[in-house]
Amino acid sequence: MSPIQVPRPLTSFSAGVMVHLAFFSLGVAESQRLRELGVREGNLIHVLKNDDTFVCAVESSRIALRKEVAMNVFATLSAV
Amino acid sequence: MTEVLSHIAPRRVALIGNPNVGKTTVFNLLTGLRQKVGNYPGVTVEKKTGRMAGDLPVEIIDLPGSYSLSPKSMDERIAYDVLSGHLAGEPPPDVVVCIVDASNLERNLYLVSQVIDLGIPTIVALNMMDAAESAGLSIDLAVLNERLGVPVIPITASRNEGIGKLKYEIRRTDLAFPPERAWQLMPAVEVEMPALIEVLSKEAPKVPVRQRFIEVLQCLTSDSMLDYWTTWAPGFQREVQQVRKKLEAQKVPFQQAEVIGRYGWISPLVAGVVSRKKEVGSASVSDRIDRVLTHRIFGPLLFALLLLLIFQAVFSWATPAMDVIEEGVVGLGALIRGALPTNMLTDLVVDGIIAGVGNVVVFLPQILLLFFFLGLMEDTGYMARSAFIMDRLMSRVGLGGGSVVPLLSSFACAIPGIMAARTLANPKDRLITIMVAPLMSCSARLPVYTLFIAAFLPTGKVLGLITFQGLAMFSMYLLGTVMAFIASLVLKKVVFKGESSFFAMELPPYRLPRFKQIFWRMIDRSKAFVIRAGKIIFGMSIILWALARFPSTDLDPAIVSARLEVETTYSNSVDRLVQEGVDPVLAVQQTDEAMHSDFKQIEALEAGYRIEHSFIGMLGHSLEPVMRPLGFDWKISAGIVSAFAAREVIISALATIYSVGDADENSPLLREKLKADTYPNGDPVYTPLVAVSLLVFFVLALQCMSTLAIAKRETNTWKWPAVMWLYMTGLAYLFSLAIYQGGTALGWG
Ligand SMILES: Nc1nc2c(ncn2[C@@H]2O[C@H](COP(=O)(O)OP(=O)(O)OP(=O)(O)O)[C@@H](O)[C@H]2O)c(=O)[nH]1
Repeated sequence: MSPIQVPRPLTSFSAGVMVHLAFFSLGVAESQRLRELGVREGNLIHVLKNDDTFVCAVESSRIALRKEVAMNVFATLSAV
Repeated sequence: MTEVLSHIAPRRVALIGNPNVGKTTVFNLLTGLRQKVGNYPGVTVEKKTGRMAGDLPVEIIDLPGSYSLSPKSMDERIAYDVLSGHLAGEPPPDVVVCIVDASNLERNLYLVSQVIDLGIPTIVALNMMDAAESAGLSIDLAVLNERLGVPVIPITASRNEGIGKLKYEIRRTDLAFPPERAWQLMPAVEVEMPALIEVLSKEAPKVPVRQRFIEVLQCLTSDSMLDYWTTWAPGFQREVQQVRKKLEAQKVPFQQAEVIGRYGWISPLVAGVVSRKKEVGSASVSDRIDRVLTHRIFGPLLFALLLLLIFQAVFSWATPAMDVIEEGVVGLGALIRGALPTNMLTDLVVDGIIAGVGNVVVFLPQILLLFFFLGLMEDTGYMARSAFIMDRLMSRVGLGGGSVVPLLSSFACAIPGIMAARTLANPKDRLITIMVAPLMSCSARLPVYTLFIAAFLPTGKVLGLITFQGLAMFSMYLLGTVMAFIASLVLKKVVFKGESSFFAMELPPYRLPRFKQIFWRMIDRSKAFVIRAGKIIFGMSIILWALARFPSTDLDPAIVSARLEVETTYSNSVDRLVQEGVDPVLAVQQTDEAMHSDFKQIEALEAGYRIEHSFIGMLGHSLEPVMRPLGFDWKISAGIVSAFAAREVIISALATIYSVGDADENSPLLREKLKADTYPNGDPVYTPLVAVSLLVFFVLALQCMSTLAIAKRETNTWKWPAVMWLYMTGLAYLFSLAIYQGGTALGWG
């Protein structure tokens, strides 16, 4: 694992991996909504599904994201 | 602790929590069956209240599930308005109980920290303790309690554990106020707060001291909250706008200040109280079910099957019940007509009141069935998945996946379809769905399609397979659907432009349906329809009746003498039979039978004359100049006006106008009459082109007062129903005009 990872869009991770959320490139209201749902910068999330749709797990909840939204959420692969 | 039992006015306790934390379960446990469901004034958000048993009167208010108090949806707005006392006639609660999902503490505490900042005595009910335990989480309750500064009660609502302690805590009259804010905003924003709070307290001294901070914070981040103060504190509003501009100029991300600040406090707090014994990431039962139900191929397939079932239910299973209701209304009318003297009052009772009630009740079978299925989908957690599965497809026409069920239900009837749009969280999506739902061809248009297609379109087959008539029927449905999609795209682009369609939602765990709850919700929603929309539908029925009934005119002398003739023949015939030695009773009976059709004919003639000279007939005549370019004469125009009661009414209206008496869409007599009708110059009134023009008119026009009534009820204003009527009628007019004029120009007339 390289010491510095460049954040990539969520859609570039395959199902099953854990990622650290880095930043959003979304509008204010949209970013706000995501944070309230627990999808927040710095959080560890589990990618459950990434094909035609995107689903991730944050703690015990499951959050579905539209592809276009997931493409604008950037994250790095987690070491754990 | 000593309990003071001297309180007289009920203690008002509000329940709040994220969606799916078990709030309903807790509410039911606290109130038992002492529940009431209503609506908040001005919006269609359900208001659920109940009484807690005990010496001390306690009223429990169940607030809509919310992720935060910064309002995004109508539901969240209501939650904040109730807690902050912004709602007229709704004082803020004495106690707030935050229901928290113990297995998802960090996210849930965000809402808790907002509630604490309101300064109302707060209790945290830590629910799903069992789930947290099986997920390998252990929570240090004592530390959590100390750090939050409010009582924390661990409960497992599904097993009724800890509820006694929660009730005890709710009843305590010595509940302390929560501690002062323990977190900080980013410095650039924090420094602006005191001055803004000062301005607010001067202009709106009624806002409780403890609540001022959060009010100011809400205004900094939300336009709709800022709008609230336009009338109450205009100076404050201007001040906030200036601060916003200043922060923007300094490139301070002030909209994020609250999230960053709160989580800056919550994250370490949670890290200090929760310890994880198990590795995260193991697939739950729901995850495994989702692998099938949200599969890229099986998911849509299974959803299509489910829709087919719902469609079938609303379309055909409801029909027998609707038939019974319709027959009941007719039967009751006949019964009453027989018992009362023949006068205007009887007409009012039978044709106005009873028919009006019938117009309302006839929708109930479909509404009940649809809401049963919707309730089932919501309660099992499948509703969220269906929205998610359909999202990609629907986003192309500017809608979200959640609009699929309401739109498809509208094929049966727009009334339940529009009501089903309540399940949409996004108010814009909901409004667009409501606005386009009536374009889906409902079952009331079917008889109209049947009559005109059967009477005027050729019977041949296309490629020897599909009949022209079948194809025409299909085209009607297709046209409506395509127009609905185009309309929603246009609405999204023109009316709600700038709103990007955002889609992120929680998929709640699957669970077994609770039929009792589904049943009651179904009843509550149907009751809301009967009471609120029913009043409008009933009123309009009476008006339409009056338009068809008045002014009372003297009949044409020719008809009067024709009736006289028939009546003379009748009495002569009875007399003759009696003279021939037939028993008088039998004589009357025999003559009745023999002359039944003569009387029917006269009655039909009279009815036809009356309707022509009624207000509806006059309306038809005065509309004729406008409708002629579409190929419609005064009779069709009058039929269209009366179809406002319900689309299929055009058939009985035309039957009356053509003096056919009682007829339905399959009546050969009516078909022949229509075909034979000509203008004074001998041109036929109905040609296949006129029929097509009329069919398209019916596909597109909003010819249904009940739809307007329900749209008014669901949007709480006449503005949207008015826009809906105008755009649909406009569309219908333009399309029919183009078809008729284009067709005539091409020589198809
Ligand atoms: N394991 C567990 N499940 C619970 C507990 N409390 C409630 N549930 C279940 O969680 C689900 C959601 O409960 P509801 O009471 O409908 O939750 P809600 O917050 O009202 O949800 P919405 O009405 O959908 O917003 C139901 O299936 C409950 O049986 C609990 O303490 N433990």
